[in-house]
Amino acid sequence: MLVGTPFAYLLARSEFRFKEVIEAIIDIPIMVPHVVVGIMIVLAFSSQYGLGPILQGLGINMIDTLIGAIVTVTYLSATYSIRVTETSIKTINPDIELTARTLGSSPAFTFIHVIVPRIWKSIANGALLTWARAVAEVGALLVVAYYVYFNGNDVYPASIYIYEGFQALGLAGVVKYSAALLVIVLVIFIVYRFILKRL
Amino acid sequence: MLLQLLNINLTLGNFKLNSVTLNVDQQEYLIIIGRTASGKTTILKTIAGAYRPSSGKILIDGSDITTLPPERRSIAYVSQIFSSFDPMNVRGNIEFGLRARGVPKPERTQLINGVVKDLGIEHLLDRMPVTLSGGEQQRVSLARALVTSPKILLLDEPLSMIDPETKGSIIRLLKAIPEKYNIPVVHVTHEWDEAYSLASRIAVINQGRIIEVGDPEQIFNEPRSYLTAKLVGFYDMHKGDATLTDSGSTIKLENGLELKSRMKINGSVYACVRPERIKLSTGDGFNTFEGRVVDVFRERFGFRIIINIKNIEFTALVGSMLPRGDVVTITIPEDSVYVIPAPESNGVPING
Repeated sequence: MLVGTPFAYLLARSEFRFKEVIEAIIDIPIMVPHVVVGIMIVLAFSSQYGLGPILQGLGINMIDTLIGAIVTVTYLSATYSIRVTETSIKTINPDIELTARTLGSSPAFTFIHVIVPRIWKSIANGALLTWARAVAEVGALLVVAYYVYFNGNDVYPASIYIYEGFQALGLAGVVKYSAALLVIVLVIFIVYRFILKRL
Repeated sequence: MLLQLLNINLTLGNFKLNSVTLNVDQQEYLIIIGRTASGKTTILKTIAGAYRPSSGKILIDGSDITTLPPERRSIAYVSQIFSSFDPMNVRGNIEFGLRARGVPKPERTQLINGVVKDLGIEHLLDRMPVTLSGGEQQRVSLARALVTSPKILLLDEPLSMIDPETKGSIIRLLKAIPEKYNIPVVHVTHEWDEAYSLASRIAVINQGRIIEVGDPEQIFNEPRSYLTAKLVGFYDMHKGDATLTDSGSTIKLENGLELKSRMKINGSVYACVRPERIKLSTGDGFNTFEGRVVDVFRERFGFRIIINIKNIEFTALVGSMLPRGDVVTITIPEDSVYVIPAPESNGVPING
């Protein structure tokens, strides 16, 4: 939300050079298999390639770490948040912002007090979709952060754990985990939307 | 001169503002009139700071504000649509600009009380904007703009969303603003009667270019261009050749009809007549012709009839209904035939 909302505003309201390229980069997660995105992230950030050596020099490791997993699912899922919020911003007549600005309101004050109250439900919906997409991610995580060493333990993302379980134990071995994940996500969706509708 | 636009050029896609130069005085009510997509709103938004001109300058009190952001111009813009700041109520909307400027609460309350009293909307303060009528919304928009004490007020077609019943009271309100608040108003519209009612000066815009500036009487009675004449209600504009006479000129129209005018002019011209100046008659003097009614429209003040005279149509406003097909005689007073040189001609008014 913090990254996607300002980015969505920029895309909705500004025209700049190479905007089409930026938009295409945002849409990559819906264009190609996520395994490919994972491979690109490894190429860009592993210790041997791309920005990896620089990040390692700063003590940041992207592979099989929590930060690597977060960056990966954020990029892969942010498309939904950005596009939902961008569409919502585009429905607001720019005259409303101009009116506010001429009354003495700065761009930030206008955004917070005029734009956000009109789009917060879209931001919330985009956040829900983004979260759900992150929970469902398998392909890129298999490549970038198959497991994460966190707080003295090796932690597997739920999706990877279920996939691994299926490979090792077959269908019967993962039914209960799959059902549990489905129920948890479904309940969160229903409760979230129930609350949103009443606000 | 409070506001000066000096040679403003601006390109937006395929549209261009071309060397727009305008001056607006303190307490002046300037109306920019033009057809749809002629550039009038673009000028207003450029003054407000939404667009940055590619060249030219905007000055307020001699200070260059061309590159300043909207919030630092002291110019309030009231858009064509009612731009309510949801989910604030009317008080919150009016208070918005003061809050954005960091005005303390007690002062805000005092300023709001003053402006809502002026505009007669004290009873609306706790209402939500969505529950307001068009006229109420417009008053709230004006209150929200005026409470910030702008140096200039910009109005983008402020009467376009208002029912005819309310229009009169809003026009009265708008007309009082320059003197009451000691600011100039720049108002854009395509409605010529609205411009005529309100303006102390009128600028006519076409295709991004100001083609004429003048006081309302000059613009409406003696427009200098064909486009202005069309815009300000000359229904009948017929091309012809003018020749000088002792008392003015005679214009021979393309169908052979001869119209006499008091204006002295030679060459290729447009003879322009307002419908309200054409009279039904029985006489046979100058500018008296017989024709057939080919169409009739109901108007607020009578009937607008279209009369075909030797395959040229004239429009007249009459008090009573005339059936289509009726043969009528009309007279066009010589001093009601206004003549404009055709653009391609070298016809030049000699006087008057």
